[in-house]
Amino acid sequence: MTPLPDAIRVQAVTKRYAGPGGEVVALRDAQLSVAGGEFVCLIGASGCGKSTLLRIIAGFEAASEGRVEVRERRVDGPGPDRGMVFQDYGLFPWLTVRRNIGFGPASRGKGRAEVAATTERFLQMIGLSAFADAYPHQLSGGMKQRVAIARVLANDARVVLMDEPFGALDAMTRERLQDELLALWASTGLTVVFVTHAIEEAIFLADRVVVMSPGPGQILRDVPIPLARPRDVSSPEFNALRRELSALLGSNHARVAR
Amino acid sequence: MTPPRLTRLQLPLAMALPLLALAGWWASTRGSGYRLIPAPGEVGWALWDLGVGGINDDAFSGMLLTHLLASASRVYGAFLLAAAVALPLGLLIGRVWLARALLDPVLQVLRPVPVTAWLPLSMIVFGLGPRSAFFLVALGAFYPILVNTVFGVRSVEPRLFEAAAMLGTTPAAMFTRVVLPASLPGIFTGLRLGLGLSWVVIVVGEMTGVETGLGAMIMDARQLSRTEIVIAGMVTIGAVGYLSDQAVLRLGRRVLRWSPQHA
Repeated sequence: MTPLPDAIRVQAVTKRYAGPGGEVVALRDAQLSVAGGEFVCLIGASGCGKSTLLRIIAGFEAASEGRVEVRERRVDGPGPDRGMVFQDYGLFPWLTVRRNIGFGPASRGKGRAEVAATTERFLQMIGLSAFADAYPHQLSGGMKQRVAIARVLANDARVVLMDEPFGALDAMTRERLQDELLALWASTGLTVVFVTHAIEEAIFLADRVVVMSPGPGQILRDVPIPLARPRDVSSPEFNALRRELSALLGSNHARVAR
Repeated sequence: MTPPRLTRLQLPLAMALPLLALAGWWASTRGSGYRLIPAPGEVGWALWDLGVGGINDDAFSGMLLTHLLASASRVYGAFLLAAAVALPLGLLIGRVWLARALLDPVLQVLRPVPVTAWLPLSMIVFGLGPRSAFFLVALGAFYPILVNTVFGVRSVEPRLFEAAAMLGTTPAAMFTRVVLPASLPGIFTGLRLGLGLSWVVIVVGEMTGVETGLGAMIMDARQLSRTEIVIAGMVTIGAVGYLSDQAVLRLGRRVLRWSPQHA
């Protein structure tokens, strides 16, 4: 296999906020490269800057220092090349499932027939054809998140940024969506950056787990996950990784507490 | 929400208090002799005479439709004028910082001034007549539409702007693709309150030397001590205002099918 160029390059990114008690460093000197087609999880306790980093890559927030490139173009704002999936879905409540999925192509001026064809394809992919004309408030959390993912894919996003997307779902729905996401990823060659605070989720999904630590937020370790998929969450290798990551996150908690 | 098994009770319950009040009214005005309040029966006949005539054959007979149409045309005309000004202004104030800084303080100070307080000034500026009534109704409808539109625009979830931006919506298209649809529930609430208030203000508006209209009819009847016609006018305004509100409500349910608060 030929090595793909880096899809995402984060170079020396620092983010400062003006907080009520003076300046807060949310993220310090973050370095990260994600190869095209790679699945990377960012994990860490709250305040470690994982969501900040994701939002900077998305272009919702500007870095105070450093630069971010996505597919060799500098990020200076949100754009359709980087699709974002939010924990709270962010679906447009006034649009049906069908129109939500077609929102991106339609706002980018695609023709009616093309939008309809794309929408239909992704409706089938997420198995929600029967709910095409339902409104978001009529859907379950899992269905809403499927629509949010389809909406991003229908818009030709090659990089998908996911901010604790399954955090609000029950355990069974969460597991099913993890499987579906991996299947989508495997069949489409997407690049995924996935923020989570669940260790098992990170090991189950990712090629690499990037461990972050708070106060100030920074990248602590980059742990490759060499396990073959589908992964067995009860295998000894899985458990060894789980222990390793727990220790990394736990020792960090101890350091913060001191 | 109404529990399903209680749905059948809704109509009888809604009718209970009015029927009780009617009975009390009837009981207290029974018998002969001089009294200031007419009996329900007299009001009923007055309504009939107003509607089709043939009982008293005086200046009021058969005039109800004329008065009603005059009032309704002013109510809807002034309401549409108010909406035509308040909607764009509200969208602007809600969305543009400069417009908010410039206009919001003035409007907040003007808003508590009751429409009735504008009556003398309005008579000076617009003269005695329908134009003054039109102005007062428009003014009454203006503020609820404006305030609720501003609120609707201001309360659009920031997340939706992020979602639209990452899907490729340009800042210029943000207004039509996100702001407008997301603030529809607020706008709709404003329109509904505004139209309701228009029916309230019309009576005051038509007290300024207007020939026709339900307000004018009530004022004429008051001066002639025809209290049964005053009450008949009140009943008419109540019924028409209710029907008008129901029409708007139905329209809103269709347009806002997507909103769990309206569906």
